[in-house]
Amino acid sequence: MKEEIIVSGKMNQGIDPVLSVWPWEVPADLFLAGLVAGILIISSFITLIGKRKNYPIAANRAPVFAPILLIIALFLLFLDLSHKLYFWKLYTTLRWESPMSWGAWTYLFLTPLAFFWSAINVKTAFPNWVWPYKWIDSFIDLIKVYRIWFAWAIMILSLTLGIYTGVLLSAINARPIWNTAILGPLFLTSGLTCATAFILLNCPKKSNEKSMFCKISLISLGIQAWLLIHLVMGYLSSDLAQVNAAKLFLGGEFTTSFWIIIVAFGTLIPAFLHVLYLRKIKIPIIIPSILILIGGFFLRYIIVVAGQISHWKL
Amino acid sequence: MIEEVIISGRSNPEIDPSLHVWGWEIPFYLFIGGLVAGILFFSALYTIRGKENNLSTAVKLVPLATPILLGLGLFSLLLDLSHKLFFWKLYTNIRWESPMSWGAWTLMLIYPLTIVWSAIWIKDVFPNWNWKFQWVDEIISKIKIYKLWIAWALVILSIILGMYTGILLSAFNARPFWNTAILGPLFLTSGLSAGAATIVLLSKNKAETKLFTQIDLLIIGIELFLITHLFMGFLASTQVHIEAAGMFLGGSYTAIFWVFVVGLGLVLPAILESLELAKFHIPPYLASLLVLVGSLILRFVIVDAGQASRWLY
Repeated sequence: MKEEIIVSGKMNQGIDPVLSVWPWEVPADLFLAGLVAGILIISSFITLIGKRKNYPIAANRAPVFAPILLIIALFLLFLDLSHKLYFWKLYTTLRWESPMSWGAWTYLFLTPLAFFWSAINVKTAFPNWVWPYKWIDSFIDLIKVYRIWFAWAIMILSLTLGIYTGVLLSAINARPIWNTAILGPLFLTSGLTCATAFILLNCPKKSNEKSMFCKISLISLGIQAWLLIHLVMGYLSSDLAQVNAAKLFLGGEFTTSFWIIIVAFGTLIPAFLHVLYLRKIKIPIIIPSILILIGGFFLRYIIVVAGQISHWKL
Repeated sequence: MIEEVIISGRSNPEIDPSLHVWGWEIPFYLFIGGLVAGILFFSALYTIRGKENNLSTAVKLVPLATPILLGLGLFSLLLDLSHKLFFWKLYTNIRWESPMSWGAWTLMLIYPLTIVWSAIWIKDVFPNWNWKFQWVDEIISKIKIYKLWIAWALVILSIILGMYTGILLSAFNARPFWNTAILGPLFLTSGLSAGAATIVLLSKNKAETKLFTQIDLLIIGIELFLITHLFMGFLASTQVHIEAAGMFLGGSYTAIFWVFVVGLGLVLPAILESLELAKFHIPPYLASLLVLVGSLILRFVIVDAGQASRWLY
């Protein structure tokens, strides 16, 4: 018997590439960014059509929280970075073919605007609010004049942010689950749905905004369900790598979490509860709203995790 | 010099497969299918919402055209068939994984409904209309009781019809330009836009024209958004998809697509509609006609380009 001794360094760290590198930070960022985008789109849209008086919660109160959520989202992104001290390198270049690049620039412009927008609206939403310094008041009075301009800028940037959360994933063609053009519209729609849920949670008991945003939420959930159908149909009619990838949701390890958490608890059950609410059956609006927000997070989480598992090896 | 004689039968017909087999019939039908879906969707939706008297053009008048339009569309589908006498074979089974199968069944269900739906409204639109036989009147008044049920069926079936016109193409993975999940939503929104444009074209009621101009503007926005995603999707996909998109980004379909579909079919009507809503005097039919023609060209371009796109490179 001839023996051979093979000395291999393959087990050493960093030799085999690690392909599942995004745990919870990135999906949580995508969720919060989608939610903020939805809140700001709705708020700036209402401002632009001049209905601020009719929908004070959506127009003034919800966006007050937007900068806080946005900062948390950015902090999560920061946590995910391996070289935290070099995040600024993203701002030394603009590569329009990279969603990560235009996402970074969108964040850069939208974050200060979200703070201004929140400052403009905070006194309308919370009448007892007092700024510690006088100059802040006079500064806000100064920029308040340009509310419509702010609304236009925020509208465009927040739409870009909402789209970017999906395109960030779909631009990576090494991951069959992510590489579908439907992901951008799906994540934007889901962000809008989450925003309606957030607005509903902020509505006081007897608010006439409730039924309006219940209806908008219902339409948005309908579009979301419809895009989920197109997502699965799209995988199944594509190449073998994507057909195999879809099997992760159709009998594979993500079947239960996809269909139960995202489709049933995140989409269909809240839609059903909204219908009941609109038919004057007493449903605490907090239940569908919380379900939508949880479903919105898990939509990102499951797609991010499943995407990292899906591959081209046949 | 040594000569060789090669005898080849390759130029005989049907040796090389013919890959460009869909002429005008299919895109024309896809346009009609989308248009009918749009018309029926709005008509049924506003019936359910109880707006049949405020929005009488959308609910009552325009759907009267659907049996004729859909008839034309189905006739062009029949023309496309190689074995015309065997079209009924589609109805000997249901294969849910084939869009052509569920499309055929949807058409089977929706076509009689368009006739019933028109019959329900025709006397509202033409008060002098006279069914020659008493029993027709009796049947219609009996059916009328179930108007809301029919409306619900139409809402669902029209969405499936509009979607299927896109899925029919996107289910072919041998054609990179068709094989994108965005095509279903794009064709449905384009069909809804064509439906709204037809209503604006025929309506004489100012409030109705305004409502459907607003709706159309919103849908055009969504269409532009989906077209952006269509191209981002291709460019982020495999090499064959990138090359398929290249036909529209510098290739032979660039001018027709960006000028006629995007420029004249979406952006210009959107500008005209915005001006109309801002109270400028612009005849509403201009934007509507542009939308309808743009929507027709969209189908022609995509059906043709899809057949030209391929996996060999």
